[in-house]
Amino acid sequence: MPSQSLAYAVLFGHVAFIVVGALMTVLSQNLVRALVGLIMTLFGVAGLFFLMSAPFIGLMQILIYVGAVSILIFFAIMLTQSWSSGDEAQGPSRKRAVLASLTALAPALFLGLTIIFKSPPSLLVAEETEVSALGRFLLEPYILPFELISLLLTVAMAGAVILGFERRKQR
Amino acid sequence: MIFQIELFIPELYLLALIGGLFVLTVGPQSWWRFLRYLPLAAGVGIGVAALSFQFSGLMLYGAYQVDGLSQFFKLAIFLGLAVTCLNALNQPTLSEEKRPDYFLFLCLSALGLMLLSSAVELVTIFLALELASYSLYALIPLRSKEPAAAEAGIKYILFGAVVTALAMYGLSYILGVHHTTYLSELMTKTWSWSEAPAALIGLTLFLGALFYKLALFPLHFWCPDVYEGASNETAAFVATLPKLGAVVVLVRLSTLLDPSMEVTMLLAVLAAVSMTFGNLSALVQNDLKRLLGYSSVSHAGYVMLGIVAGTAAGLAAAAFYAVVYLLMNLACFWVICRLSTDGRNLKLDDLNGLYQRSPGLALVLAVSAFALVGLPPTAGFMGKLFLLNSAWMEGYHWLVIIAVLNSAIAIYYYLNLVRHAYTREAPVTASGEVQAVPNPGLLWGGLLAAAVLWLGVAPATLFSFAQLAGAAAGGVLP
Repeated sequence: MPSQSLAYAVLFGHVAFIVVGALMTVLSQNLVRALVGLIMTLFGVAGLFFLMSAPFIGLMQILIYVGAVSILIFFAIMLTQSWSSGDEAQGPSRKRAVLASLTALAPALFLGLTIIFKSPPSLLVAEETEVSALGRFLLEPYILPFELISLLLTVAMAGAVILGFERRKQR
Repeated sequence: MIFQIELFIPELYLLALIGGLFVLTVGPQSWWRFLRYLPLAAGVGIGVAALSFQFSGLMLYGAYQVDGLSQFFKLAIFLGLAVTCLNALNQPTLSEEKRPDYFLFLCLSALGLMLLSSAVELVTIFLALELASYSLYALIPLRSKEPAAAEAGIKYILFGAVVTALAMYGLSYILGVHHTTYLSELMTKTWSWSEAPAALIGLTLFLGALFYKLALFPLHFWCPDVYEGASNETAAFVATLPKLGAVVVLVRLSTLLDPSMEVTMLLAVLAAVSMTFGNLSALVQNDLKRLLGYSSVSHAGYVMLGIVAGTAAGLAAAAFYAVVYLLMNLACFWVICRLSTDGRNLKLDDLNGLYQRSPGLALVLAVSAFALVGLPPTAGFMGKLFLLNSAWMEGYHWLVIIAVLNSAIAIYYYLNLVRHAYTREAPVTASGEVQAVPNPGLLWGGLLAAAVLWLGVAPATLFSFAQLAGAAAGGVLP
């Protein structure tokens, strides 16, 4: 069926895009290039959301992660001084690299294989959810978590302020 | 029923306290003298929580349940908060300008734990747990002139972030398989490996976040380092209250588990390994806080006895033991904080001759050490007895045997504390005198020790409440 092979092509195109971006993030020597790789991955994930007929979530992914978070990281790179002779600049030893990749692969393989071989029944054709339904969902059954998030962000921000800033000297 | 204000009184009271503290943090320094009333205000909270014991109900579209279990733990949280605030009032290693912020974060963490004890929906549970943790992330590095504190803070944050990510991932599996996050609906679904393996993996990953808080075996590694790095007063909070939060959620989630399931067996094995590993590691520790850190790893294993039993009696025993653990650890930390007048970490040798320097504190230490071992007539004994009993009834004979053997191992290092305090001579100053401990705070330390003894002699006073809590855990309200 041509439409199905086309769908597979689009899906695996996205997956390849995400994986290449992720590898670039991890392996690149240059911080800015690594961040470009991260942005690539985030775009790829947004594309997956579009494929699953969730355009709103995909747009939010682009707006928040690509638009805001990446810019923030760029600023952080710009504001911190980093030297090419620091501890981090030396590559990891081979033994460590092997162990680290094994550690990363183990859960991914385990979880991935479970999902592939014992996949729960799911919808083959994704249904699009209206944004208004999403809003109602957040403000009715999930009102408490929704409000808790704002409290959580306040605490995170206050915590960052108290750890990062010197209090203004009181007169 | 969307919202009923009278069900929400303990949380509102704590929120009012937090609001007041927030005003203090931005207000002029002359207002900071009001901080000394904070332990009193938190103590009033115990009464508020006790008064709200009679209420029960389901709120906010079924995400928030007020029942015996939640009110029992709210009372315990207020109790712990009052004692830790009192303990931290004259903290030597906290820079003066950060004092109001410190207490603000203590109360915010307690609020997170309180929301946790009533949450019956997985996303709410997750966020409340995060609220409790974020406040601690900010508190741990607040120990001036101590690089180890920053290290401890970074470790706690980074490991916490990884565990959180895994828990969130697990939550997505549960949501993907069962299409709901409400415990009342999840109770009716299948959790067996053969029928829904993805859901079971998701649940295990989600439980990981709780094990991290509880410091149960595979996720215990942060515990000694964080206790050692954080200031004594902060460690007293981190060691006690978050465990209450983890226990209450485990008690709630135990309605999903039944003894025939694979995951229950996994929990039992983790409990056994945690007890053994914690006790064996504690044997060789020299730093008091590291010792208590490993001891809390082993106590996490003991609490799991009640959870894997899963009966109302087992859950009541777990709730009771959580409160007993709170009291005996707070008593032990009370002694450490009073002894360490300049805020440094204490070694075992710093306890030498405590009976000469402050007989009262030495007695409090002895009572808490006996309770931590689980010797009669202390509350630790009664708590362990209830736990072992409930696990034995459910047929976990091997687990009970391991637990009892572990108690025997634990005798060595807990009584080592007492040996140092009572049989070694105190260091003498140049003039040949023994230096007394200044400000031993005997009244409150003594009250804690008395509470530990009282619950050992007459456990029914608290255990009847714990039984209400255990009974409430079984059923999610309609």
